[in-house]
Amino acid sequence: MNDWLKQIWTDERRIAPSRAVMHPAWILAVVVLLVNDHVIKPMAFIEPVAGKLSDFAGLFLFPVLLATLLGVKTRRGLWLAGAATAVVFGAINTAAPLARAFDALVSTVVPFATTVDPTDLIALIAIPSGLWFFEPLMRSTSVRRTRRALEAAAVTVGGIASLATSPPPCNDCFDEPMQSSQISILNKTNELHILRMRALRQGIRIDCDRVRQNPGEYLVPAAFDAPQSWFVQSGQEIPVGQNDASEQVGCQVALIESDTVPDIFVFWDRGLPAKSFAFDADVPVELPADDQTVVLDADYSRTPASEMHQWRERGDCGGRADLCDDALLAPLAEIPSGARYFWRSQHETPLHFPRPTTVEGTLRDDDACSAPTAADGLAWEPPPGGELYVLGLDEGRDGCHELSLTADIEDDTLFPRGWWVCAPFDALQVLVPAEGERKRIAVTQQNRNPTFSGGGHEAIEISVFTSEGSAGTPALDRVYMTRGYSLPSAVDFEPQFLPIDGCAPTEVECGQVSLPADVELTAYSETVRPGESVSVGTVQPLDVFVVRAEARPVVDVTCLVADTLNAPNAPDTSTLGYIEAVVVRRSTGR
Amino acid sequence: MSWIRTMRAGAPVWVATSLLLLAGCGSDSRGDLSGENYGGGEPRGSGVGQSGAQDFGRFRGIIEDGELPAPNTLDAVGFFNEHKIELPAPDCGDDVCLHGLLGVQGNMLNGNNCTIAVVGFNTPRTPDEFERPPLNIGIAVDVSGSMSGTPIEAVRAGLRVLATTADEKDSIALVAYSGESELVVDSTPESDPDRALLLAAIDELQANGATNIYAGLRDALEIVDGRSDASRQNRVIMLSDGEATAGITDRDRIVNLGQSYAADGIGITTIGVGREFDIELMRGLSEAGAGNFYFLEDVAAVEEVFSEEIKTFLVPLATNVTIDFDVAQGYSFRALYGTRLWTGNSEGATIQIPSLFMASRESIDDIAPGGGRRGGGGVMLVELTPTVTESQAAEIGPNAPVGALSMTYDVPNSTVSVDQQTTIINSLRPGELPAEGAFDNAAVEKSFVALNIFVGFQMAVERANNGASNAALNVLLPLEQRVEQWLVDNPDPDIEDDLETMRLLIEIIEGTGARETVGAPPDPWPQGD
Repeated sequence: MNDWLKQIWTDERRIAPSRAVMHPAWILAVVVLLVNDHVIKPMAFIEPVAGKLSDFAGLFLFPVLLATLLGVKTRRGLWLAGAATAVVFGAINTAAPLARAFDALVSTVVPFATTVDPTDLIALIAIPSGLWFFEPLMRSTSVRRTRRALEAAAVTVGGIASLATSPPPCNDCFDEPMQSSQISILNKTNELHILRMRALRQGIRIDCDRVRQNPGEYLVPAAFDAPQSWFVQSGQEIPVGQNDASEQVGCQVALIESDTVPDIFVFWDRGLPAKSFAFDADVPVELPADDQTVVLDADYSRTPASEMHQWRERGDCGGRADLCDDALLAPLAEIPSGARYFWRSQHETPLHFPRPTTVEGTLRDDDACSAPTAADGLAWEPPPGGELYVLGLDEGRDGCHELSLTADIEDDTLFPRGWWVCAPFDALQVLVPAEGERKRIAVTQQNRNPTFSGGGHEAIEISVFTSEGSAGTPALDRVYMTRGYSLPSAVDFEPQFLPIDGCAPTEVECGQVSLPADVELTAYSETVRPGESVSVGTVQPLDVFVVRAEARPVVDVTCLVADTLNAPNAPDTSTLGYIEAVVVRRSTGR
Repeated sequence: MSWIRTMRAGAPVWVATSLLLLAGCGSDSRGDLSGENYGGGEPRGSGVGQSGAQDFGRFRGIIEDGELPAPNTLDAVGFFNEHKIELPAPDCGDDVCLHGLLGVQGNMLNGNNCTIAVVGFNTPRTPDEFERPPLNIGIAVDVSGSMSGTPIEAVRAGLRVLATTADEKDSIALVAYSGESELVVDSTPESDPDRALLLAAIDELQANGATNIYAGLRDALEIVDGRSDASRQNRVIMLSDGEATAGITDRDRIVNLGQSYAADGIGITTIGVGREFDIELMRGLSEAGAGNFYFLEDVAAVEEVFSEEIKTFLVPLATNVTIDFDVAQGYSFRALYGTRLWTGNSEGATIQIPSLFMASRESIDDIAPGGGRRGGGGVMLVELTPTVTESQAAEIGPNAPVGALSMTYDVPNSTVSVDQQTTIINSLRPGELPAEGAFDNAAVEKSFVALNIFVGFQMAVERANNGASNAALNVLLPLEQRVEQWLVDNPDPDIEDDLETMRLLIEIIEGTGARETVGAPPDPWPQGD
């Protein structure tokens, strides 16, 4: 071997590589390359075989072509051209970054795309074979002019055949239209993954500033629609959410679920400009990730080479999505051992957030965020009709109390009835007659729907009359019991919800979440903690008993409402709240 | 002695790997797992189940009717209570013995590491020798319009069983509620010694009107509370087939009513009739009232609950049970299955169970004539994550503790409090995962399989209800295959029944046009990004 190398290295006899290009074997290799690349390769079902055939043919002829173009005149130069061909071919078939760099370089002359496939290295054997075969033909250095012209033509055709190996990469070539969305997901792994994409349900409104801090803490699956499944091939880009130009304020979230990669939330501002991209699985160029791309990436450092898929591998359906059924896709979705998948956002401000892995039970919460719950909530039986005398109030041990009522104060055995109300016992004292006093009450249902679309609250008004009172007589006192997202208009203040810092949110119905909160009575600059009361005003004093209060960073304005299509709009950028309160409006000042 | 079980295809191989100290409760409860004592037919007392759901009949019933159940119909406590787990002999010297066992195995969906500690209880006492104190019970029966026909007939039949098996010292108040609530009869030893009044009242129950659960429960609680006596078992049995439609209808408020009386020693047992009852309410009441929760899905279930379970379900063996699990070096706590009543962080968990009852099933083959498997005495499963590097794991070595369990409980109707401790040992290094898996005994292996089935059901119904039916099949089909394989070498009636339910569920999901898609099965316990 050493002798052979020494002989080549020291052999100063002149050779003319162009002499070989007129040989039928070289011309046959050119024909094979052209026919294979442009006739056979597009027939997808034999693409793997066709790919290898091109490699063999190309490497058989290329060192001669290169030596001719470089004007090589020695055996040493000829074999160096062969070695250079082998090094470049080996590099671009084993290292994707080098392949991309090579593509970029060649594409300055002619569109070019390399498929990284280490198994193509087997074709390297064609280089020494070609050189051994063609070298003896190069001894003759003197030929006629006609022959020189024919050699030049053969070299030109050979050069074109070597470069024009793949269809030109251009987005206009795809059947699928260009996609437009604000955010996209790009699969930079070597495997196909099925992603189940879930958009926020209609009617869900979120406090963007708060939720953005940690979407995984505030968002629960119940807030999202049914999933849409995407088969995302290696190198494919897909849209997340559609570009809705009508809504530029606020934020948007998608939940991405998968059986093979970690679940994430994707969170972005609605004001982002739309981006365009081709999402066809067959797009033959590597797609660049931009600031609005969430990238699915992989670490294969622990994956055996034998199990590795290739980047942008399209398998037996040859990269044609219309030919790829499950059976053909299944090998592409096999997860190699040791592969670890992870997400990254291209932009420095992350667009994606991990979904917490939750299980049944409650994680230990050591801070003091306890607040009244629904078990302590305000509730009442359907109110009685007409004006009724109050006989008394029995305190229940569960916080629900029975008002004894009768229609006939003279004979309380006639039409007696009890009315159960779950409310602060002190708040109900205004209904109870003092010794020797008579009180009558009339209860009216103000609103029955504690949702945004139903007026924002469910409330009753209890008018308290003296015994002499009758229809038309002003009530002595009025009691409002209300629960919902707002307060009745008769209560002269709006609640402002002040979340208590450091408390973990909890899920409530319809995918909503709540935080313990204090309530500020805006008109009076008073702040009340749930479970406590405050007296405000002087002319028409109010006793405000805040039974429950929660800030709701995520609300469903259609919750418990069948008519979701007519859901009203609600503020989208501030924390909404839920309040249950008893407000006693006294007729006399303090 | 602990055992490593080979689970690869082919015949199972049992290999003894280490000899552990023999000791009773208070140290390492695996001490009785020698081949001679474990599963050898020696009397081992009875299983003990936590209060809460005793079966998952509603979930199964919906599937048997060819419908897709909602996720909240699958009750973890009920599911594990239907799986009889044979624990080591209950020779701790107390009425309730705590056991902690370990299993390490790849999960049955995609094979990823799963390290679990099984926490269970049993008792040296048996149902036959169990003498319950006199009862002071109130029965709140839903007689709303929806109960007419078969449901009210079934309830009458069950109540007759209760009335005829009652002891002469028992007091039974029957409250019927629909739109209003009414005390139908108060059958005491003095007023109704032969239960004739009670039986007549049961026969006259008629269904009509709305459903005022709050009023019915309150009346029953007030009657029992009015004659509450520490020497008796003071309890309300709540039957309902629907949601509250009259009176105070807020679910949390009704549960709070039960809780406020439970604080004064009045227990609540709930029985859901049919498929339309408020499962969250009934479960919440039973948890608040330290009682059991049953589903009556058919006539056979009525017979089982009122004849079999009545022996044990009214009188707890232990109350105010607190279990602490402190994780040892090399592991971190991740989750707990089989109860909702836990809190935890990476260093451990605390479980608070209102009461423990004797399980009526005495062995794996002890299945009620109607096929019911309730009363198995469910276990809880603690999932652990190894947290050390390979070199640290080597330093810790095999036969090191994974965690310490301690339990305190009150003996009912007494001032006695009991403490127990046990340590769970791993015969492997932290993180070591033999392909075959390693289990302290066969009971752990069965628990492991049951956990995989439970999580598989949970994931599948959540996905199918969310519109991801293909993804639901991606969970169930591989699981079905592996459970089937496991049963070849480990015949078990509970798991076989689960497999049947799983196949029905697969049929239902496939009936929607779903099909298994490409891709790997999901990780039932994902570790996050």
